[in-house]
Amino acid sequence: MIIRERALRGVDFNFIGTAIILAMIGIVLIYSATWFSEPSLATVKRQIIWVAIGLGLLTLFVIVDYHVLFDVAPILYAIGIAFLIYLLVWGKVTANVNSWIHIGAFRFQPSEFMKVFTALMLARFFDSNDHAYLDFRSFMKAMAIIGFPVGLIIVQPDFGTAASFFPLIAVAMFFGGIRPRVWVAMILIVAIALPIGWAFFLKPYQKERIVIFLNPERDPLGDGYQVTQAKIAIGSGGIHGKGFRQSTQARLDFIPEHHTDFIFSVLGEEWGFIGVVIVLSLYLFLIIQAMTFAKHARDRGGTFLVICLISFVIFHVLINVAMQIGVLPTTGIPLPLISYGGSSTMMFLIAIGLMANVDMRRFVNA
Amino acid sequence: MTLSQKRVIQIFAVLAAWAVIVIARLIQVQFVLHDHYTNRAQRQQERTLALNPMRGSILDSRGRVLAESVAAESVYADPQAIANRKSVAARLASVAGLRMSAREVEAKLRSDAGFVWIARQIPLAVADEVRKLKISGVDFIDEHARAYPRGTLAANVIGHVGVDGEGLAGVEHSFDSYVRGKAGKVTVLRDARRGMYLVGGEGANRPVDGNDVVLTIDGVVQFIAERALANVVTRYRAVSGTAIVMDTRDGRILAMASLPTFDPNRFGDFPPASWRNRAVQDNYEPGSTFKIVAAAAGIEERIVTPSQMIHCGEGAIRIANLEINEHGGHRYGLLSFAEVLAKSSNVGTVKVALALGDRRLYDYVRRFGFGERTGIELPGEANGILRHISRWSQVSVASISIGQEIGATPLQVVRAMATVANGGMSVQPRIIEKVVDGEGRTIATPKRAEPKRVISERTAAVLNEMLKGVVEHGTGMQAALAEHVVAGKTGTSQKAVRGGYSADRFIASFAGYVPADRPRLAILVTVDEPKGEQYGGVIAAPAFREIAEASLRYLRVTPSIPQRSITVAPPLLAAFSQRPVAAERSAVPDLRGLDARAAVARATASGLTVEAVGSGVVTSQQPGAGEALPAGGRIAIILAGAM
Repeated sequence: MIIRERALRGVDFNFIGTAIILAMIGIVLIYSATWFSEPSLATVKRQIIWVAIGLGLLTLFVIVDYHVLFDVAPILYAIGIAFLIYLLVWGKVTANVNSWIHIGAFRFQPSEFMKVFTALMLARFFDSNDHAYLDFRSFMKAMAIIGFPVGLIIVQPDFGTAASFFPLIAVAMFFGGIRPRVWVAMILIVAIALPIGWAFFLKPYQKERIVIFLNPERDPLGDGYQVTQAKIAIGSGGIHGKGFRQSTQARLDFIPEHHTDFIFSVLGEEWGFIGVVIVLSLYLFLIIQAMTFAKHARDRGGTFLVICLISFVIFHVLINVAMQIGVLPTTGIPLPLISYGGSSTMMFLIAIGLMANVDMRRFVNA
Repeated sequence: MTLSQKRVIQIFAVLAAWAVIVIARLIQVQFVLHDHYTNRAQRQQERTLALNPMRGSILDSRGRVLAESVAAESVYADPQAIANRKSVAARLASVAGLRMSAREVEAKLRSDAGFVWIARQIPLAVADEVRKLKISGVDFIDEHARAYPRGTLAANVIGHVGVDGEGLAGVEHSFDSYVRGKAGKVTVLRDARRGMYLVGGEGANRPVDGNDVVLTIDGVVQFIAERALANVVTRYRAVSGTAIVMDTRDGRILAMASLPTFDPNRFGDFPPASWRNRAVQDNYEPGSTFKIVAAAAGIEERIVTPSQMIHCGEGAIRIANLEINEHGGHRYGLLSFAEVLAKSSNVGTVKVALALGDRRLYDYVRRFGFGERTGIELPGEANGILRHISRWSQVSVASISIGQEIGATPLQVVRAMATVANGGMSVQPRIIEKVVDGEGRTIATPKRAEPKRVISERTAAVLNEMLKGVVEHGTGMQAALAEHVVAGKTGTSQKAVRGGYSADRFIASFAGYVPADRPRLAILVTVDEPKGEQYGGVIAAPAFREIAEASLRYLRVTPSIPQRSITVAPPLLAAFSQRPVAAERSAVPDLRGLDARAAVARATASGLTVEAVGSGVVTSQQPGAGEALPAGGRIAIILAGAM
């Protein structure tokens, strides 16, 4: 049997409950952002459905022992890769980016689910590799597991999503264990690759984003517009915010993507500094809990799985929040559990489930 | 163990560093720069729109509307919201009322702006036609259009307003602050796609409509004066002309005509020179009409009496190196002073002036009000040109006594004439009766100077007799009326050209007042550069008579000369003043030859009303047949003859 009664009692409901609270806050903010321009509330209703489905998936990924998932990880990984290849070959062009799979009326981004599958693959790899330091071959293997989907996503091209795989590389290097000389080599490679990448690989719009990031007010109606508008929203929110449904910046359509990537600015405008600090505290609670899970995990695979997954959450929160207040450049990275979006919402709820899964099975004899 | 304490600490160190940066930034944005961003949010989200007040009306002294504001709409477009500009332009141009070609419209739509006017202040009916096209990106704003229901009547006094409702000339300009009203404002929220959502409402910031200005002008007297002036200017192919009718008792201007004139409804179609009010804005050399000043001074200073004989010699007098000749080369020989004025002898007048001397003549010229503005409530009034005595030459005293070397506005001349009529009291000319609010309450009455004594009553009485003589048997005989005694003075001034006076360009004028012994009206007619004739007595005096006769009848002034048969019927004042329902226009029917009853019937059938003067059959009408008037507009008609 995959689950035992005693194990179920070990589920950390505080952890899952916090995630659900964040998802609820997301629904409220999406409602605030869209009620005026969309009286049918179709977007909010869809998000509620995504959260409901996501909670179902969360339950599923809690119940199924993560060791079983390690066993099927190559299959999941292969399916994900297959979808990504399919996208490249037959994918429809949506918003200039080939990242959606359409099944009937539904569409989803395989790249989001690929994050979980890649994390599973990587954790599975480290489960069987317990040297203190990665040798070069092992390191390259780990890099290949990450690099394959990332490469496919970059050519879509979806720079933001590809970049969100970066935490996996960091985890592999940081926790996998790399000798100092490999660090030096890596830094050298990056130092050489950066200017070459800038010159040959970055698209003009990507270069523009970086330039605009450095000086967003340069062109307030162009691409720096989003950040400027987000700052106006957050700044005008002040300490306690304007209150529920009072985000004029979102209502009057000044913030583009106000219910997706820029939902944080709606939070800042309506609930002010207090609301922002509360939401960030909830994320911090998730992170601290996850670190505890990782520390107490039964095996190396569990530890790595939790670290990989929480690194996604950390990365998304860090980047998303920082870009809204002009600390980092604009990328299409959603705020975990809060931003509108089926694939991303479900992916993070699955990740929460998986982390709880590892925690629940922390006792060897459980 | 893969998750050492050290690594956990390192992770939290990174998180803490990030948190410090983010929180610091949030504090900066949400605390320190909160006001700045609130301000910016407001600036980009809110728009304050001005709500235009209704501009007040301009009425004549009897409440006839000379200028009013009517509801109109303006059409604008957002070119960025229009995809197919060519087809939209073609559809807009298909509305005939817009009077625009597809190419004109397209040129406007090619703008990079988010807002262009397509047409300002068009009639509601035309706007409705545009609305029916249902073009997205094309929208409407309620506005007001200025309408002058009587067309050119008193146009140079009333002035006109620009498309944004600012008074540009005349009373529209000088009383702009009264008629303009106060703009209200409303705050609207603007979304990023430029659609507008009204919030708040008008509330405390409702616009305050302008007040109405009541003029001293009487529309009928104005019409009479304009018609007489137009006749004389046309007949003698003159360049321009003015006519002023002033109530001698209180300085109220009943009529002030200036030619060429314009239609303020479409002032853009007329040259700016036609917008001038020459009666107050232009200086001219008044010529012989100015002799009343020297005459008054001579009598007042006891230098001369009407019966005193003056030797006018061989028709010329030489002062220093200037030779002053009589008009028409007359050699009058010995004339009484009364005759000097009646025949308008230059030599005789100059002799009196020489006896007066510079100082005394200068003082009287000033006391009659020359060389300074009268203070009438009209914009751009000229001072007149009177050189200070310290800058007079040897010949100035002679030149000025006969109205040369001095510039005066027609208004200054008519005021001087009224001073004589008034027994020597100078009254300040005025054209504004009062300002009233929407309920008819008077809210302002322009302040004016107290009447001022210029010459003694006795002098005025002596001068009155002499001026009656001018009309009875002198140069002004053509100004004489059958029913009233007229006092007046002709003027024929050569126009000053570079280095001297023109031999063939004149200003013919006649200034006078009626009835001479109980004066009511002071009237001046000036005709600039008449062709064929030159004398004021020939050209301007008949126009004076025409104005005086019709005006006195209209004003029901009892004839001062007993008439064998009464030919004066009570003036017919048909005030069919139904207000126009819509700003529709009707063609003016030809009423000439009809009697009063038939004319009223014909006009009513066309949806127009009639204002009549005199009795008999219609001899002239204003506006003429075939012209357009708004529904309910009035046709002024003059009846004469047939009894």
